[in-house]
Amino acid sequence: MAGDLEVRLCASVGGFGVDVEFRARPGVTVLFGPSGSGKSTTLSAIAGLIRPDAGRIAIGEQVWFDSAARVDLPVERRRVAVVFQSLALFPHMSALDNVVYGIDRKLPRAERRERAAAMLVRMRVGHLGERQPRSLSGGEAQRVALARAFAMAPAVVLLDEAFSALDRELRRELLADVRRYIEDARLPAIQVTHHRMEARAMADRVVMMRAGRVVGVGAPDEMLHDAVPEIGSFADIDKTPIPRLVKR
Amino acid sequence: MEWAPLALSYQVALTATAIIALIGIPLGAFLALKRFPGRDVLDVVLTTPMVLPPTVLGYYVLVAIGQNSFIGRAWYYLFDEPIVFTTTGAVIAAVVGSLPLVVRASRAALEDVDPQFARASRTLGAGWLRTFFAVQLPLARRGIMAGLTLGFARALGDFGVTMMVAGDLPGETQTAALAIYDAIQANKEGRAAGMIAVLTATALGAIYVANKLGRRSDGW
Repeated sequence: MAGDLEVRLCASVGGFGVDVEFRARPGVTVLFGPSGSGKSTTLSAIAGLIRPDAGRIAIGEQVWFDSAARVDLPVERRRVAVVFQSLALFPHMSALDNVVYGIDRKLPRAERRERAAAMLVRMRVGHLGERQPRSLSGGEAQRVALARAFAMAPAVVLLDEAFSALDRELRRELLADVRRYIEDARLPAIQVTHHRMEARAMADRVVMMRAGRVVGVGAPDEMLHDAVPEIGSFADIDKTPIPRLVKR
Repeated sequence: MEWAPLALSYQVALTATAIIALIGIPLGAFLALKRFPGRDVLDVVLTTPMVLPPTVLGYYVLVAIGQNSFIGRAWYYLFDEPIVFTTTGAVIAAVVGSLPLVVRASRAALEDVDPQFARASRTLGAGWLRTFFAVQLPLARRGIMAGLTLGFARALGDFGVTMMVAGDLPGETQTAALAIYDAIQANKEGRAAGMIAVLTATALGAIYVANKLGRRSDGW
């Protein structure tokens, strides 16, 4: 168990600013908000892919970023598993080699391959290890990407609109498997989505964002009730009533 | 057909291509992947040899490695022979002429690789060096190979810079391009015909291969 992920950061990318503060406990925290609300920027800053202007990001006792103390742990040392919307499976490697890639290189090669194969089996794609990513279906590729992320024994899992390309049925199956893994590993996971169904299926806690800020934090039942329309499907989110805000 | 100038041309071009790979790919990668002050200036400096008249380029090379230059004197001290008017000089001439092609091709090929792959690699615990060699370079390899093929073809056919830097010494620095010129000047076209055919076939083959490689840059 890695402990809570504390996030307090200000960052600006291409003139767009994000100023957020929240805590992600073991389990799934969903960042929920319309496009352009700063969810993905927040995720990139946590992963270390962009450098915040100020703030602090820490997991348990380990500080990843602290502007005051001038700490900025490089991305490769954060042990943060990111599943990108595009999946970003390396096209020149087999599915198995993709999963092996993130496993600690201090381990013997045979053990790394064994672990990778076991994770593929756990994600129900054990039979696809030798296949190239381009020959996989959308759902299969998604499972390989998840296996790659989980096999690296991460401290935190970040899911950036990772399931948006899947149909409803496939998404439901996959969400259940991902939830099971995160519960077993007792990891903090942050999922970015604007699909209410997906958020409800996954979230232990919801952080609602608008225009680069956190506007509410709470349980899924409070934050995602039916008064809030599907965020991806309406344009004018600012006219929508915000559910009861919960103090952080 | 005269084989010696052809053999020397291939020897010079292959050696030059190996050297260009070692210098050009890192330079292309540096321009593609790093943001630093003076990046545009470096790009201009590395590209200009493509459009300079060969005699001007040859002049600069002579100034840089001639017997009165620091490099020329150091070389003489170490190897007891000059660089200019030797096979080494011919190789340097070929490198200087072809380097821009490889730098530009490498840069373009690496810039073409979706940055998401590098980000994924970093989050999976790989530093920038492993990311470059394990992810970016393999994904860019077709474009880079296309650049190297063109660089080889350019090195094989160099005339002006080689003439300025290495001279036209039969058996020593007389490449096929220079031998063809001499044969035509001496009204002995028959002597040049075989070399012309071989160089033309090589150039056509190189362009065909480069086109094939370039078209399939995303064909994993």
